[in-house]
Amino acid sequence: MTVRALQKVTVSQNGVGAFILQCHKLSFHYCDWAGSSRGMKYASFPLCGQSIAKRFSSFLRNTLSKFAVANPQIEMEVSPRPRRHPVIIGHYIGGRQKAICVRNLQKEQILQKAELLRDASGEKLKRVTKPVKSINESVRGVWSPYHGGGITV
Amino acid sequence: MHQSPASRTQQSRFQSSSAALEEDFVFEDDDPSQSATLPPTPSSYPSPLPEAALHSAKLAALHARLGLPKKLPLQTMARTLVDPSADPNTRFNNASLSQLGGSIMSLHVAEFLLCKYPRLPMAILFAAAGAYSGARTLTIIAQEWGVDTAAYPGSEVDPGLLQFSKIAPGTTIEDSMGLSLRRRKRLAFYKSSLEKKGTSHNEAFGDVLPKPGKEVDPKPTEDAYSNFVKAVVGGVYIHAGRDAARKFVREHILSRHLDITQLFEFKEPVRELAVLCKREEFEYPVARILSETGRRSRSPVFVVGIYSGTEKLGEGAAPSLAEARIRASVAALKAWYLYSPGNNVRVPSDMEDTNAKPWEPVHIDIGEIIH
Amino acid sequence: MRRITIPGRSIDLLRARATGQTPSPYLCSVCKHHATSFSTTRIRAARNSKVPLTEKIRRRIWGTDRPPGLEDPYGGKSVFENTRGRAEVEEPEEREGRLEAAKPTPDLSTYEPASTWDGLEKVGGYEGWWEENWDPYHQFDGFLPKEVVKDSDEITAALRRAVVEVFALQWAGLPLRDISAAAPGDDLTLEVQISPSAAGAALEFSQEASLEDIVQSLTPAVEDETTVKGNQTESEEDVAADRSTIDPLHPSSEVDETAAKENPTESEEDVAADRSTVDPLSQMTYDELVASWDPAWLQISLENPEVKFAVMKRTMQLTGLRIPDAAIMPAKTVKALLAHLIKPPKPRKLVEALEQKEELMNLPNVSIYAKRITPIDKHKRVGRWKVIEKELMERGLPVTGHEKEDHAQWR
Repeated sequence: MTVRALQKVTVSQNGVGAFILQCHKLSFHYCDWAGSSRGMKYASFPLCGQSIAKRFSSFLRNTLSKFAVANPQIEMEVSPRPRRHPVIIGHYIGGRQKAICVRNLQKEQILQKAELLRDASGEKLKRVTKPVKSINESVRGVWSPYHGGGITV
Repeated sequence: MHQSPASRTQQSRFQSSSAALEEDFVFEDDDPSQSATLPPTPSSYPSPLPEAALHSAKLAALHARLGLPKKLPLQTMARTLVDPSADPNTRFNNASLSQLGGSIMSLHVAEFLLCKYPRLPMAILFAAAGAYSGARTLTIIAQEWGVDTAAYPGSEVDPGLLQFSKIAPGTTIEDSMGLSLRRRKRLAFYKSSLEKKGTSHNEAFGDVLPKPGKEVDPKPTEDAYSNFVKAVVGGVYIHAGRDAARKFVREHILSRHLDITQLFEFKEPVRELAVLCKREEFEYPVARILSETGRRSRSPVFVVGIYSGTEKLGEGAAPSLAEARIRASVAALKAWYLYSPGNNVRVPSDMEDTNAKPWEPVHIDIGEIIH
Repeated sequence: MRRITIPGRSIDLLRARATGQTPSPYLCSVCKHHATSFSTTRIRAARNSKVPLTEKIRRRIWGTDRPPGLEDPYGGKSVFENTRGRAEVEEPEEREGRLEAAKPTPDLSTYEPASTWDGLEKVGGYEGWWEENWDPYHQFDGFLPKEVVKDSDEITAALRRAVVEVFALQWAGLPLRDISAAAPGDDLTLEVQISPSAAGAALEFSQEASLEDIVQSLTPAVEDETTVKGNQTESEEDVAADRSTIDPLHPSSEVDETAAKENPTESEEDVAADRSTVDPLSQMTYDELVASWDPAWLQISLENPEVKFAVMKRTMQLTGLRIPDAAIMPAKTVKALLAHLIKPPKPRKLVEALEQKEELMNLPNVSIYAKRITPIDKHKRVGRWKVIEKELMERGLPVTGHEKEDHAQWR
């Protein structure tokens, strides 16, 4: 056998062919009572906690269904997290997570945060210096000093 | 597979798999270590019930993420995630689906490679097919789909997780196959003889398959993942038809990037090129220096071209003349082997389209160079 | 009463000050009292005009004796101030004069001081007040029943009864305002078929409940009318008795009684059949009853304001539910009115609110949990928990860490 083969794997080009959204799960956590256990003990604790919970619940009541219909590829998980501020956690395909605290936000702002998490790739934020990265070979090839006849002085 | 998905959901697990439950008990008696890892709870089944698939948000999201056709029900989708090592009952695991899907996938990969690169040597063809649809690649694909694995299979597990029995830590692969020492030696000999021959009729990529049979054995994660991806293809084929399956394979498997030029490893490229030229009745290949610099220096560069008569077959640059000639021969051979009629070459399965144009025969090479 | 500014007012003020309204260190208290007792009405008027400083400033600002606005701009008048103000409105001279006139000249010739309080006139106290206000015979009985109906099927049945009765009155040509004249008795409308028609609604009466029966049940009994005026308590008792017997909700108790009385071996159906007085319909529970009706009756129009008002009034009387204007105005059909009446209570938790949202619950990619997702839940979801549990139990360790027997062990 003169030619032998090396074992390789293909490399994903997300978006060429199929596109897989990198955010695969969004969990929405809220607190029914307040930001603290005081809200649970004294039902009328109107200042901070109730309003946070109300704002977030307004998002979950009104906006979430449209958001979930528009993004069927994301698993949405809604669960209470008592005595904590409301938070949205995005789970990404690399295994990373991103969490955004949405306390004191209005429902439109919460939607913006959810969209931000949806559109993120899950990687750490880093400065992009070269706008294009490619795994394809350069069409021109590397410049060679031995070709093209050279320059006559 | 003759049952409709709805009827499968209607029937309860008890009615459908009483025989399988007996098998379960036999299996537990046979292998006490296996039964020890799973606490025996008679009410629980080895895999989630088909009804549970309708309530799993993870599974529904996965279905949508893969852009699967609506015809593929969630119950089948859940079934593709159950490995035979988790649930030995063939009515509920993905063995049949992955068998079917693997065939469909290898068909599309093979016709794609054969039509696009008709002169690829057999070993490279296998390696390329393995790169496209081998277990390692399929594992990566499944992980990039966002499929997680369950820690232990069971009926309470979310149906959106891949379920299989993992190999216990510290077990070698050979041990895990449950073979005797003598049998392992024979297998190794068989494998090496196949490698010498250069072909394998056992598997698509030239590897040796273990003897079929004990599917309940624990499996490495890679096998479970690749079975899942194959099963998805099989499920798409069954529920949505061959066009959908072909589209799915093209979008998810053939669209990935592979630089085939990097698969080659030549032993004696100069000699091989000479044999090739002789076979093709070209003139004997001659190496000529195209340009050079710093011959007496620490880092010389020679650019050598391989010529067959007046035609330049290839060119290579290296710090020595011999190396440059080898590189030029490799370039010439790769140029020969990687001949391609183009990116948009038609494949035989294109004829399955309605209103398909009449088939034009593709280029068929006489074969690789043997010397 | 507007007072005319008296020119000599400032002098009065001075005089008042001089006579001791402002305490002077040079006057002893006896002299001060002498000086005040000497005063007549003018002095009194001057004393009356003893006003706080703020009031003075206000008067000065407005330029009148009666400046508009509150006397104390930082708080409303208290009750005492109100009563005092009312008393002040009467001119002191007039009051004095009136008191003088009203005072009889006592004839002290026959006066003998009493040694005991027998025979003396009692003045003040709460005589009769408790009887008038808290006597069980004089209890206030409002239009709405005290017990508000909560079951939605029962409310639906009540609304249908109201609709049937209103249209029965309309058919009989009686004025609809009499709909609530009689206290609600037995429900006769259960077997009446009602369906929407061009003229409002079409009624089909059965043998048990004819139009006359229903109209009869709606008109108050004649002897009642006579007795209502004379003896209110009796009619109240009647009403109370009526109310106790209306209840078709508990026919089972009656049946049980009869079964116990007559023959315990007989099946309950036979007993019920034997009792001709018991309506077989009343054996049904309300949800069966509501389900047995053709839902077309919900489409009956309430466009006629007279009908709408009568239906609403009767429904309120039957159920005790108050219907706000905001719900009355947009209700065009019975269905709309019913939708308001059986509106579910406002959810206290977000999960309860989300569970009512069909479009959200039906989405396949959304999962909603009522409780916090604990680490154990996460273990269970991937199938690891059964293994952990087994290993912990094998070692005799507490599984969740807060079980009762474990605490007992450690004590």
